[in-house]
Amino acid sequence: MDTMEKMLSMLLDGAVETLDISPHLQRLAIEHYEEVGTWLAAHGGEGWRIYPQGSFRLGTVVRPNTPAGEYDIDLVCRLPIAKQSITQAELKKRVGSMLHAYLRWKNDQSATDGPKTCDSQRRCWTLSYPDHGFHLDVLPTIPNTEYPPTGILLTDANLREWQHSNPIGYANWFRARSDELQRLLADAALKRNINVADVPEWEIRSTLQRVVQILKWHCMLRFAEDPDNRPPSILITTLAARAYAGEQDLFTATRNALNGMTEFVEDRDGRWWVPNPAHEEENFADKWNEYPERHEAFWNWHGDINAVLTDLVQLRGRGLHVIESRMSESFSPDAVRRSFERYGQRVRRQREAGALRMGTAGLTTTTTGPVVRDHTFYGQHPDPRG
Amino acid sequence: MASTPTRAVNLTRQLVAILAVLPLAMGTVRTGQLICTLHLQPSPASQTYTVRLAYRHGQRPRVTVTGPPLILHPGAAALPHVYAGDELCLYYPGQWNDGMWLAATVVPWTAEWLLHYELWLVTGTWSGGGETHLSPRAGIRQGATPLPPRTRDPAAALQHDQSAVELAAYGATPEVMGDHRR
Repeated sequence: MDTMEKMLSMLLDGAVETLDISPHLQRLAIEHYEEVGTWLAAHGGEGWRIYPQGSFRLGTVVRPNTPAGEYDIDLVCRLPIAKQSITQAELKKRVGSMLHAYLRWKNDQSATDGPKTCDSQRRCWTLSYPDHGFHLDVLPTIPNTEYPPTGILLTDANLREWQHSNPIGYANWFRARSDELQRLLADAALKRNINVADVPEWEIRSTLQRVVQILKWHCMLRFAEDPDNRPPSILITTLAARAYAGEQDLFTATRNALNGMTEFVEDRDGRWWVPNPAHEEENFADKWNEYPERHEAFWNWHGDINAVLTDLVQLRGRGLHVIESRMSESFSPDAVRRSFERYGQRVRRQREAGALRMGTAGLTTTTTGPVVRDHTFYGQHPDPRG
Repeated sequence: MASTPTRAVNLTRQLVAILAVLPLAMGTVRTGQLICTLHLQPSPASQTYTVRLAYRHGQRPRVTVTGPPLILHPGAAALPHVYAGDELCLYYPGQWNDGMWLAATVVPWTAEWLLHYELWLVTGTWSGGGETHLSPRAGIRQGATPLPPRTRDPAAALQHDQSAVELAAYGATPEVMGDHRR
């Protein structure tokens, strides 16, 4: 670690990693929604399709700070039906009945891995899997023929008009914002001898994805007691990805993204506007115009996280324990501590492997200097407690 | 004074080798003792510690932190891996001998100790690995000097050669150091 920024990147990366969905849970979630999808295709009708959207698709999931800490997995359920042939309420009901039928089918088979409940929400149906620590939010949709091939229309219990969306288009845009992400996807494809298009983003963690995770994480904690004013994840993700300039150092990328995102909040004739990159007519900042306090809350949060990052870099030379204490004030202390523990274990493994070197700026794995010869700390009990 | 092992590295050369790694170190060799003050910052986030290294042939190098004062993890009664007087315990008896370069062993081990010390302040657990002192019955008293071996076996000789190679990587072979001697 040659610079403070690299050090902070490593420590933040290690902390946010602990909030990542585990590969095991990810596989389990995929297995479950694929089963739902297969069942719906077989029983709902030709052309019913289920695919992931949102942070699960983008690989920017952060474990929620709720007591259960259940991961939200957002899915699109797309029915090949024309807008003229169905109402929003009918679509919602049709998908709901099929999901309830699926739930019954699982129960009839005495399957233990089925969803426990299926509940209606404003826009989606929620299949809960409390034993696994996640739930599937299934969004009933139909194709939006005005925005082929990936545009969709969705229902909203509180709104008369069909709502527009384009999660696949959004994911494509997100991917295009990071050369590193594209390279990692290409590497993964090459390794497995498959097409790049078949490697999902959620298997990869590029700097951009980590930046989004850090921002969402801080925001989630900052608004734990004030969820109404919490900036939506999609707004943060969009602004961060727009401002991202390809940095590969996580700390620097996060700071630059925060500084750069101000440019991408537009004022269109007195209305705040952050367009959906995959559907220009959709304004992610729409609520700011209706609730000015949310606009204020966003910029207060922006100022807060900027201040945390500035504090951290200014604590250079003050001690790892001081850095940890400041980081824990703004991020989850458990995750931060875990990251520091891992750092210690890594330094030890590097020394044992002969990869640790002594530079004039401290211990490092990059500069040329004497290799730290393996040795064994000796002395009194390593955990002396009173 | 105890006789010096034939392959022991000359104290001035030890000092020059330390200066090659840490140009800001200050030291003297007087009456058969090397005393050196080092400034070590194990990572960019870490504090810069002032460390005193005192060493005489035939004795173990004694490393103490003179500033800033070392503190304890809340709930801990003592520092981990220290001898009496908070002298740092850096290696298992037998892992160091007079034929080795301090600059390639004890100095980076100290930096490493300091890094794990700061992490210990965070976690309360020593992440650097290591052994605890043997009980007095096993022959080594807590706080006592683990005696360095007087005779060098082939493995130790090989270690000495490796040290020379490692130092050569930054231009501080014993030959080069001879030219630098003031």
